[in-house]
Amino acid sequence: MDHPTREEWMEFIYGEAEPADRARLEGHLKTCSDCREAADRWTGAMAGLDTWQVNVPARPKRHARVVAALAVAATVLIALGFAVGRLAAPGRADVQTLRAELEPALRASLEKELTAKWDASLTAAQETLRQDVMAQVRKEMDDAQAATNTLLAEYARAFDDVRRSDLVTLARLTEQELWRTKWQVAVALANAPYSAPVATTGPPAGNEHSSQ
Amino acid sequence: MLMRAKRPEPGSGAMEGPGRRESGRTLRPTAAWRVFRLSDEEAMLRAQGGDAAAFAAIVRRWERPVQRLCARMTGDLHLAQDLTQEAFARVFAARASYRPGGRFSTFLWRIALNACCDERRRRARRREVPFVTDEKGTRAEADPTDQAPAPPALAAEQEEVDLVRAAVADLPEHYRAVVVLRHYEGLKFREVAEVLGIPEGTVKSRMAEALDRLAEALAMLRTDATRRPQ
Repeated sequence: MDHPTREEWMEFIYGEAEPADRARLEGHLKTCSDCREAADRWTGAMAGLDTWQVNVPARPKRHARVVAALAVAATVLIALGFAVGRLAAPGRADVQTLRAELEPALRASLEKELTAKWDASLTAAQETLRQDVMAQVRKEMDDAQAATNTLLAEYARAFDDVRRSDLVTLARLTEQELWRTKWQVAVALANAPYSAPVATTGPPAGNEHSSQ
Repeated sequence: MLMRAKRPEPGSGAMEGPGRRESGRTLRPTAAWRVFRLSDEEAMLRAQGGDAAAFAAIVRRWERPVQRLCARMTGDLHLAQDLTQEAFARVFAARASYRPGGRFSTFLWRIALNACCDERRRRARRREVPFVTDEKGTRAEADPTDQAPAPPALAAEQEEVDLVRAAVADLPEHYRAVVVLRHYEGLKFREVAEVLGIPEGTVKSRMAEALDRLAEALAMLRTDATRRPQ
């Protein structure tokens, strides 16, 4: 069998073979076990080579270096500012003097502010209390008025009842007295002797009015 | 599928350098790249005329690829940093010899590889510890970034990486250069040949031989690793 050369196989396995050569070599691989074995050996070695990767550290970017330089500069400036501030700061005695000067004014201001707040709170509390008392009194008065009205209504009803009862009693007594009087008149008339009326020319003086 | 997926085209003009991918991460273009849009060749011509900013842009664009190349050629990340500086110093010193017709990346890769070879020879002359040593006890010296103890879950993966690094380290230098340029840096075989100054067919045959040796070495190292008492 006419085997392809090793050079041709190298072109084939590294993808540099022309299309016609590639087709020819692929066809040969299907029929030649020796060449297939060699090709497998080479591709196995290539796969082994692929496992070794070299990771070269990247050079720091220029802008990263600029940022780092700016950060360092900022740190130095901050440190310098802090140091200058510490050195230029007044001593402890000056702080106490300043406190002594400021304390009365601060105290007066504080007292004034607290007093104003207290007065405002007191006024508000008084107003609230007055409104509460007025509301309570108004409520009590309303309740008393309602109770009085109720009592007056009850008294009026009781008075009406009593008056009605008295009138009924008076009417009954009056009727009884009227009947008794009528009876006494009737009895008196029945017991009186009969006398014929006397004819006269005129009524006697002094009895004119009563005879009518 | 045997055929390897195509890597992005490195090493020429405006498409190289900043657009490359490493470990699945896209490297973003630098500010200078976005502003000036200079190709490597244009930047190098400006550097020949004394434009320091143009040369700085080249360094920013290429220092990570060159450092990766040196790290894989030497197995030592710290030494790779020194060799990267050495390579760019050589590029600057040799800027007058750069011809505009040639690709800058070829010029740069060649200088970087020469810096690695010179370092190996210098160490051999002084009988210093070679930067590519055997797999026993070389992990801390070979790559100081791996000195931290790996979590148990990553121990097996790290051991595989160590085996691969040791296998690459055991390759002869002319094989290792082909593997690093073609496999890791993604140059075409033609470009590798241009950098190394050898015929393209020789590059391919060296690649095949290197893969054979790597497969054999990896199998042997894996066997030793399984036999080694835990």
